Amino acid sequence: MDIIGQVVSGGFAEILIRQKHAQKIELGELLVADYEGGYSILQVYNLKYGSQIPQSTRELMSGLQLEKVNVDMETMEPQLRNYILVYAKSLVNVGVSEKGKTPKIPKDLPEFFTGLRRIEIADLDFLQEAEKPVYVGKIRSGSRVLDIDVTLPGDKIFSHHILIPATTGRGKSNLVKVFTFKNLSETYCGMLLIDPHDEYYGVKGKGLSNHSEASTYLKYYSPRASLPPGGISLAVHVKELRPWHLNVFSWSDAQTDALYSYYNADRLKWVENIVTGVDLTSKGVKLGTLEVLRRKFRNYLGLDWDENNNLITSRSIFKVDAGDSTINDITGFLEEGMKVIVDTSILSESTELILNTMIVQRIFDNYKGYKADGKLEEKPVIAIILEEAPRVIGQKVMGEDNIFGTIAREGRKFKIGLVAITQLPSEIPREVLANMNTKIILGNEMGPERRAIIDSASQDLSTDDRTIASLDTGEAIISSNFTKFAVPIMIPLFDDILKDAPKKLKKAIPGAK
Amino acid sequence: MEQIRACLDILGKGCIQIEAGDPLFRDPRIKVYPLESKNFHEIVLGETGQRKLSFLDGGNNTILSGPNFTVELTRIYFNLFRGNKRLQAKKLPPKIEFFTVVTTYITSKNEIEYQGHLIPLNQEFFPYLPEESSLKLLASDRSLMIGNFYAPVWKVADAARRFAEWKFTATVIENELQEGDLMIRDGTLQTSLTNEAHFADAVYTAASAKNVIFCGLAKTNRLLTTTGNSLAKVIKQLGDSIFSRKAWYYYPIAKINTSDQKAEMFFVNLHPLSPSAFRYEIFRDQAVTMNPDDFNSIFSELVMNARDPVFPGYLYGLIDADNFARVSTQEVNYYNTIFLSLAEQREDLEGLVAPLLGHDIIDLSREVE
Amino acid sequence: MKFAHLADVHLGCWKDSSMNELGTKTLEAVMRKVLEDQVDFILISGDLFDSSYPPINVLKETARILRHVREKGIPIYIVAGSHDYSPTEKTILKVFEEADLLVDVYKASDSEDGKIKLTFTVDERTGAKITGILGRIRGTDVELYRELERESLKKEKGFKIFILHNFISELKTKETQNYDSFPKSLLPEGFNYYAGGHLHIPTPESMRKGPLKSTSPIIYPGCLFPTDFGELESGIFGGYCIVEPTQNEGVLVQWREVHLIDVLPLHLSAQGKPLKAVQEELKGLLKTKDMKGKIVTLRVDGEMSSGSPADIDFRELTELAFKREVVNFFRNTQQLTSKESVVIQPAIGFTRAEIEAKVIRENLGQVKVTAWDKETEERVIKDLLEKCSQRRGGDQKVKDYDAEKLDLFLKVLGIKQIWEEYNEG
Repeated sequence: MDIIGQVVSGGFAEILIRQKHAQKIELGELLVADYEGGYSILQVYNLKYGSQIPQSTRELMSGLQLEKVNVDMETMEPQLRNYILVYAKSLVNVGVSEKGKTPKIPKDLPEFFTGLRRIEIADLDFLQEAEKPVYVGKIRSGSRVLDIDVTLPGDKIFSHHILIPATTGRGKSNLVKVFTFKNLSETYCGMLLIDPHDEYYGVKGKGLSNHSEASTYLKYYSPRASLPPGGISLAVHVKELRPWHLNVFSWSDAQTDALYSYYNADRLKWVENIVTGVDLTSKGVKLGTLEVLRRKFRNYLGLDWDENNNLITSRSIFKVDAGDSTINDITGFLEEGMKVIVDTSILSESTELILNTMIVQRIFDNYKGYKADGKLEEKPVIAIILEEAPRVIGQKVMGEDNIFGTIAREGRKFKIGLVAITQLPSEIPREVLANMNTKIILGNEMGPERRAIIDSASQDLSTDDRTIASLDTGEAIISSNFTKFAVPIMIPLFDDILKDAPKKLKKAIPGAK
Repeated sequence: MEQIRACLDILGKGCIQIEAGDPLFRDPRIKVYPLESKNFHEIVLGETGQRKLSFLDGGNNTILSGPNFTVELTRIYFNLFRGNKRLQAKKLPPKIEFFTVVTTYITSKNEIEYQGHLIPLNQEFFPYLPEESSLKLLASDRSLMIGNFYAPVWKVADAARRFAEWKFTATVIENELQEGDLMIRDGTLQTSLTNEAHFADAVYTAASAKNVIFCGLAKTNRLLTTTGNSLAKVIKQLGDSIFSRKAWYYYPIAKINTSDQKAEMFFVNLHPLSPSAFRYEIFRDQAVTMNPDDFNSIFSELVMNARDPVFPGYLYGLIDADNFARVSTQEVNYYNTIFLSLAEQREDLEGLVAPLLGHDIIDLSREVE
Repeated sequence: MKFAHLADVHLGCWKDSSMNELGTKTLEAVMRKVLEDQVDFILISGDLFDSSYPPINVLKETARILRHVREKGIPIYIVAGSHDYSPTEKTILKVFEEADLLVDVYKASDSEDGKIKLTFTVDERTGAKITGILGRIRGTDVELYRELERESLKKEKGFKIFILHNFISELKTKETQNYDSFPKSLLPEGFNYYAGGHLHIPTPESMRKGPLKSTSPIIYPGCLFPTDFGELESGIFGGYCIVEPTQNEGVLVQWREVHLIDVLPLHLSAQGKPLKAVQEELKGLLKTKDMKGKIVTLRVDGEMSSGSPADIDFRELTELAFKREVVNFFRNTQQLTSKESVVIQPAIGFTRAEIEAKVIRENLGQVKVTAWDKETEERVIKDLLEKCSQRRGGDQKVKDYDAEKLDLFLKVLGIKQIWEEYNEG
C-alpha cells in the first residue's frame, strides 16, 4: 500500500500531514493511518502550501520566471522544500480483531510521522447495510468514488426528519429520484412527493414511472388536462376544506371569525357560500369582510363566480362534482407504503400550500388516531418530501398554527417525517434544524447557509466549511445520528440507476391472436 | 535618528576606501600576490554530474553548564549530491550525535585542566567519535584562551565538535566517495586548536589515498586588503566588473605553506547574483597538481550546486548540511528538562543542580516582569 | 343510432335457485324493454354470468333470452367481466359467441413495439366502432391498459365505443371511495362513449336524476339485479342505459332503473342484550313489518351479553318470515358476537414472510411432539412451507411429483428411516 503522506504536526481536529511529492490529495479525501490493532480513517478538509524557502524568495523566483529574466537559477530539491500541507481530522477509529471490525469515535491522535495511505474498499467493510436500507449513493473519497453502497436505515431516518440543503443545480432532484426509485417497492415507508416542477414522475423523459413496479407502488396526481397513462386527475371536493387548512395565510380576527361562522353554518357548503356571496350578516359577518374573503378565496383557491354569483371551478382544483375521495385516496396509498407524487407545477403557491396542508393534516390526524388505538406500529412511516421548506417551516411562519411546524416538532412520535429541501436552511429555526437528524448536505456557496448546516449537524463539521463550499454536483456529505461519522458520498445519476434497474417483464396478452 | 546618521557617517569614512589594495595576511609565512585582473577566471560550464559532492557540517548547543562543567549536544551531518540530485549514503548514517560532558580538574601543578567525555546517542556512532584523550586540555591552552583569559569550559566542547567534524570527514571519504569526487567542509582548511591537526591529517591522508578532492568553503571571512577594505568585497567588485553577470573565480591569492593550513586559497563567485565572493580552499597537495581545466571542472560542479534562489552563489549542499547539523534550542530545552529531573534524584549531584534551578527561577521571574 | 348499455347481470350468483331465476327474469324484462325502445344494438360491459361455468339452468334460460334478441336482428356486444372471464379462455361466453348469441369485442394482438393492439368490431347497421378490454380478477386488467397501443385507437374515425370492466378513480364518491379503480388517464382517448361495468352502483349519480348529455361520458348502469346481501339491503337498484348520439353535444344517456321486486331491509342491534331478548326482538320485528311479496334482509350485529350467535334460532325466524309470504329471506350475522366468542386477531406484517413468521410463532406448541422444543418446531414448520410448496414442473408426472414431495416431507420431519422400516415391516 503506497504511503502518500505523513503526520508532521497539528492537534486533534487539525492533523497536519505532509503530502508526498506528486501524490495529489484532494479536499474531502479519505486517508487511512494504520496502527497495531486497527486503523484510523481521516478526512482532508484543507490544503495549504508549505515551503522551507522564505516567502520573499519564492515571490522573487516567481517574478523572475514570469518576467522571463534569465538568471540561471534553479530550486534545489524542489519536492523536498516545497510541498503541500494537508489538514485532516479523524473520522473514525476501526479496531480489528478476530471478532471483526469495530468502529469507534476517535479520541486519540495517530502517532507522529505515521504514514497515510489512500482508502480502499476493504477499509470500509465495517459499514453494514442498514436494516430497511435506503440507498443514497456510493462512498466518495475526494472526487474518487469507491464501489461501496451507502445505505441509511429507512425506518428511522424518515421519521426523524431529513434536511437536504443545497443551492440550485447541485443535484437535489436527482437525489430525491434516486432514493425514491431505489425504495419504491418497499412498503415500510410511504412517501408523499410534492413536486413543484413536475420532474419526478417522468412525464417528459425518464422518471420514477420507469420503475418496473411503478404500476403497483407509484401514484401520480396532476391537475393537467392531459395526463400520462396512469396519472390521476388532481381534483379535491370543496367540502374537504376546513378553515384551519387556511392557517398558512394571515387573516385578521374578523376574517377568521367570518370563516368559522360560514363553516359552522354549513359544513359541506361553507366554501361555496363564501365564494357565491351568501349573506351571513345575521351571524355577524359584515359584507365588507365577506368581500375580502371572496377575493382571497379567488386568489388562494382559484374559485371564481360569474355575474349571477354562480360558482366557477374550472380554473381550480377545488370542485363541487368531483374529488370526493382524493385526500382519502392519497392518504390511503401512503398508508399502504406507496409513493405518491402530487404535481403542483401549475398551481399557484397559495393553492399548493392549502393542498399540502389538507393532505398532511389528514395524514397526521389518521396517525394520531392509530397511535391512540395502539395500531401505529402496524403502519408504515410516512415521509413528506417538500421543496422550499422555509415556506412552511421557516422562522416567519413557525409561530402560527401550521401543520408542518407540528410535524417538524412532533412528527417523530407519530412516524411522520419531513424531508425538507431548501437553499436557505438559515431560515429554518434552530430547534427545528436540530431535530432533523439526518442531513444530506449538497454543495452550497453561501457562507451563512453553510454555518446554519454545520451548527446543527449530528457530527462535528466545524472544519468542513470549505469542503461543503467545494462540493460538486452529485457530491454530498451525510451527517446523521444513524451513521458513525459524516459520510462523504457520490450520488449516482438517476439515468445510470435506470440503466441497471430490472426491466418490466412482458406478460402474455390474454386472448391475443 | 541623528545619532544613527552620525554612526553611518563614520562607517562611510572608515570602512570603504577608494583604493582597493592587495590582500593582507598577518601571518608572515604567507606570501601574498597582488590583486590583478589576470587572476580572475571565468567559470565556463563544462560537463557536470561526473563527480559526487559531499558536504559536511557540525553543530553543538549547551544543555547544562556551570563554571566547571558543561553538557552539550553535538551533531555532525553529511550529505551526498550528484549535480543537483541528492544521493543515498551506502554505508554510513547521515549524522552522528553525541553528548559532550566536560569536567574540570586541578592538576598537581595547580593548573585548571578540562576533560571532555563523549557519550554517543547511539552505540553505532562510537567508532566515528574522536578519542577522548584528545579532549584533555588545559584552560591555559593558548589555542583555547580568549584573549588573556583562561579558556572557559565550553571551549572543549567546541573542540570536540571540530575534531568530530574532521574525523567524520575522513570516514565519509573512506566509505562513500571515489576518485574525483569532492568533499567540502564548512569553513576553511585551517586548523587552530591543539590536537586538531592530527585529525586534519587523517583527512588529508584519506583524501590523497582515494584521490577525493578535499575542499572548504567559508561563508564569512575577516580578510582585509592593504587599504583596509574587505578583501572579499573588493574581489567581488573587481570580478563583477570584469565578468559581468557570470560565474568566476580568483586565483591565486597567496602562497600558503604552513602546517596548520594545507590549502590553496581561491575566491569564488558561483552565481552572477551571488551577494559575495566566498573564500574557497582546496587541499594543497591536490591543488598543486591541477591545471585551470581541472579547476574549471571542479567549479562547474559547484556552480550547479549554487543556483538555489534562497542563497544564489552559496553551495546548497552546505545550506542543507547546516540545517541538519544545527542543534536547536527546543532540543536542548528538552534534554535540559530530562537531565535536571534525573539529576534532582541524585544526592551526589545536589550541589550541582540547585544553583542551576535557582538560575531558572530567576529567569522565570524575569519573564513575569 | 340508439343502443342499450347494461352490465353486471351476474346470472347464477345466488346459491338460492329462486334468486337466480329472478335474475334471469330481470334480464328478460330488460331485453323486452330495449327491444321496445328499438335499439340498434346492445352492449353488456362484463359479468353477464357470475362465473365462467354457470349452472345449466341459468345457461338454458340465458340462451333462450339472447336467442330471442338475436332473432330480432339486434347484435349483442360484450366483453368478459372479472367473474365470467377465464384465463384459459374456457368460458361459456365463447360457446355463446360460437352460437352467434353475442360478439366479444375484446380483440387483442401484439403490436410491433410489444404493445397491445385492439381491433374494432364494426356494427353493420350503424357503423359504430366498438372495442374494449375484458375484466380480470381483482382488477388486474389494469395491466392491459398500461400496455395499450393508444395512438391508432385515438386516430380511428367514426363513432367509437369503448367497453371496460373496471372502475375509474376520478368518479369515486364517498360511497365508492374504497373501491379498486384506475385513473381515467389509462383509458384510450377519443371515444364517444365509455361503457363501464364492474361498479354495481349506477354512476354518475346525476344520471339517476334525469337524462344526461355529455361528451365522452364514462357510464356505469349498475348491476342489473342485486348480487349479494349487501346490495339487496342497500336498496340501490341498478338499471340500464339507452344512449343516443346528439348533434353537437356528445351523447344523450337515459338511465332506467330496474326494480322488479321490492326489498325490505331489517336491522337489529344485539349490543348488550341477552340471547332471549334478541330472539324475542327478532320475532317481533318479523311480525310487525309488511313483507308480503318482498325479499327481506335481516342484519343482526353487536355483542350479545349472554349466549352466542349460534344459539339464535334462525330456523324459527325463517319459517316465520315465509309464513308472512316473503319472496325470500336472507340474514347476515357477520358482525354479531358475544362475550363468549373468540376473536381471531389478524396477523400484521409488511411482507408475506413476516406474516407467516408471526402466525407460526403464535401457534407453536399446539401439536405436541416430545422430541421438539419450540425452536425446532418453528424450523420444521418453515422448512415444510418452503420445501413442500414448490409446484410440479411442467413435464413432471404426478406420480413422481408425489414421491418427491413425500421424500422431502419425511426428511424435514426426520422420520424417513422410521417410515422405511415401518413399510418393510
